[in-house]
Amino acid sequence: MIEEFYDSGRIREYIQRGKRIIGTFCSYTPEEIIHAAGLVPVRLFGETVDIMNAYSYIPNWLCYYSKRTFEEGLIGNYDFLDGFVFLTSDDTNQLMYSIWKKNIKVEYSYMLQFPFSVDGTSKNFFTKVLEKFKRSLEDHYSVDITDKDLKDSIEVYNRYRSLLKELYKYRFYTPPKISGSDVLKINLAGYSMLKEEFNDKIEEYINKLSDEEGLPDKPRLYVTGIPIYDPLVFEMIESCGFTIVFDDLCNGSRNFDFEINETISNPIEAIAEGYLLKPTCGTCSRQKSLAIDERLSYINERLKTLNPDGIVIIGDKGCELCAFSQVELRKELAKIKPVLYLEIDFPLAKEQHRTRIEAFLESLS
Amino acid sequence: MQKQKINLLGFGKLFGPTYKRHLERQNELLEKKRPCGWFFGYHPSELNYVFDIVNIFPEQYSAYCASRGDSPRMIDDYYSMGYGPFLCDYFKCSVAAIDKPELATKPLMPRPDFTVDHHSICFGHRDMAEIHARMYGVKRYSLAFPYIRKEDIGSFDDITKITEWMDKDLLEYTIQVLRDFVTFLEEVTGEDFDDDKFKSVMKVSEETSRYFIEIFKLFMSKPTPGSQIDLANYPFIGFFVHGSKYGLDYVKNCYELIKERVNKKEGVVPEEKFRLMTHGIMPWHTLSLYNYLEESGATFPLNPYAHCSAVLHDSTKPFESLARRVSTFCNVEHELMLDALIKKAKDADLDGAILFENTGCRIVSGVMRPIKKALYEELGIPSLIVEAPQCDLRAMPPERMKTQFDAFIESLR
Ligand code: SF4
Ligand code: SF4
Repeated sequence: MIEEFYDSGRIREYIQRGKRIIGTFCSYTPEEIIHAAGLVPVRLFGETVDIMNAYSYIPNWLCYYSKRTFEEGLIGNYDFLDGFVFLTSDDTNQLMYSIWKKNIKVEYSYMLQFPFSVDGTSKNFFTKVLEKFKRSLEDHYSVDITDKDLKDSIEVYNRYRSLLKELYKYRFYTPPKISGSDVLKINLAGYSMLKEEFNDKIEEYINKLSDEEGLPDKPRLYVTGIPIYDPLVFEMIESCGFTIVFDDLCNGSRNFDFEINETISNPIEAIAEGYLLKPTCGTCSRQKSLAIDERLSYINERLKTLNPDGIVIIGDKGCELCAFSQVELRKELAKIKPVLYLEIDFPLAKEQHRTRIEAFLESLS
Repeated sequence: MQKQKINLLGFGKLFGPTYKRHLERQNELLEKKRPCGWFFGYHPSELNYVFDIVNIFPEQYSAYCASRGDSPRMIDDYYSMGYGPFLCDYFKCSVAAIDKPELATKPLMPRPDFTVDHHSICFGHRDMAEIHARMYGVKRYSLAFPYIRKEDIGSFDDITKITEWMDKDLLEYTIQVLRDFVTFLEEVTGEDFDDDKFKSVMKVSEETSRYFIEIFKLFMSKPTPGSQIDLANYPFIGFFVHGSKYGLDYVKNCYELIKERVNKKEGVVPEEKFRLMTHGIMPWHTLSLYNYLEESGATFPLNPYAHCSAVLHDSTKPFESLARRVSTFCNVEHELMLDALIKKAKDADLDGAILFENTGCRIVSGVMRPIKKALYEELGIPSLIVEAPQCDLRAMPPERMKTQFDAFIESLR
């Protein structure tokens, strides 16, 4: 069933249907606007492990995600892209926008200004930024994006987010009805699908899931940290005897645990507000509060409800957000639950990680 | 190779008394129990002079630790706290100074009442301000200035930062961010904003910016009149104390020295053999590396990193002018930056470039390969990229760097 979500030919099929594909890189990207323009937003994963070309352009100590996506761009694996949209979400993304623009040939590229601080001033500004982005898509693709188009896309994406929330709940059962690895796979598949198609599929899947028997009961983990675009990481953790009952990764719950207010009359303003207020990645925070505290309070709330046996923080030396926050996260979370910090890079040093995960499992018993 | 004698302009000698005045101001304000802020990045320093805030700069402090030889043991402490290798040395040193003050260079930074970040130079500033605020349990104020893209300004001049245009929404937003910050400072000090004082500080700032610009233009003369050692304090003045009387006096005096030198057509060394650009954060631990090259006749008329300190002000429009300055040009879309840089490289009549890649700093390191490529493709100028974290000489020992410099200079002959 999970396999049904995966269809490597889907993107080509969209192109055959006359759709254009826009690559995105960050969970703060307001895909609703791209979708409303009749385009297909696709989050890029960077599947290649061998970096052969990228280091002629960028330092080799950047995050695995930027290296892998760029390498794929260089070797032509993204030749299906008509364009890409970056956000100023961190130094790496700011840098990579210029590097991509210069070296990966596409028809359309755009950098969205993200204001980081949540207050009235930044909300007004972000609304204007998104209005300009909408105009840029309209001009480039000769389309008219009406308020109705935007509202329809908001509805599709709100449904997408609430279905993913629903799917995540099946991990909370005792025993869980679905593993963390399977949820991640579905989640990843959704990134390259038109959300209306994904929504129908996942709804059907959830209906079936409710009748399924539970999985064998195993110690339960909460996972946080860097974005994971490779199911191998979750499979490795779960194969050591755990079930991952929740993850708040950038491509996990932080991607869907919010909604756009459909009652706000200006849909662009609604989108701006929705994305500014979504669970923080450690970038955005309310003025006078700290992003790390906002993240911790998000995690704590979920820990209270889920009561997992332990927490795994997945890190990447090259990810600046992780590099800055991981010490405080480790320290604070260890006050609540046992914590394992797993620093990964690719190719994955599986055996080495397995030893640590198994030792962690033992320490819990 | 015959070593030439370096004839410094003497900016460094002028800096001592300037810094003393800065510290005196700080101490006076601390005695009066004025609020103390730790500032990260290119904040609107003028406002500190309007509100009499004690202004502390962890980056400058970290550079100071490196120049005193204390940074390696501080960086070791940083690692023992659990942090990884790929964050910038400024964070490594400043966080260690809080963790283990006994290891850190004295005098230590006074305890902050709040921290302020500004992330249009780098996102790291935001994280640093956040972590430092958390360690001290104080407020962090975030100046969410925008990142500049090509469509926002068209193009800009590398020295004056005059732009072709500036997007109206962007400018209005930046001004509003500044006004919100003024409200924050009013809360912190319990005092109303003094508009007249602001205007007079901005006049000082405008004058300072004009001297900066003239100095950088004169620096590009032939032969190159000064050494990079002369410029080493410019980021301090330009980034941190812009708007202070002592900052203005400093650049004014520097201007007199360089003007005289250029009028006499004298260079920093008797025989200039190569004219090089240098970019990237200076290796604060061993600034004498510049002298090593200068002694061999390789001079540096162009340093875009130092140019970040200069932005032409217009004190008749104080908020707008400040908004333009804080919309920093140190980190903009590459296409914009490369256009501006290539124009100046042409004017400077360069033979080559030495580019410092500062491990852990994504902004500076990420731009070096594109610069190298652009200089070569557009002007046929070769570059050497040296990986050199700014405060940790162990990552690239100076002797190894010298070997790379020698090979590069040899290739220019
Ligand atoms: S958040 Fe981390 S993983 Fe994502 S682009 Fe930035 S540095 Fe890379
Ligand atoms: S060195 Fe780089 S990362 Fe560090 S504060 Fe400066 S710009 Fe930011």
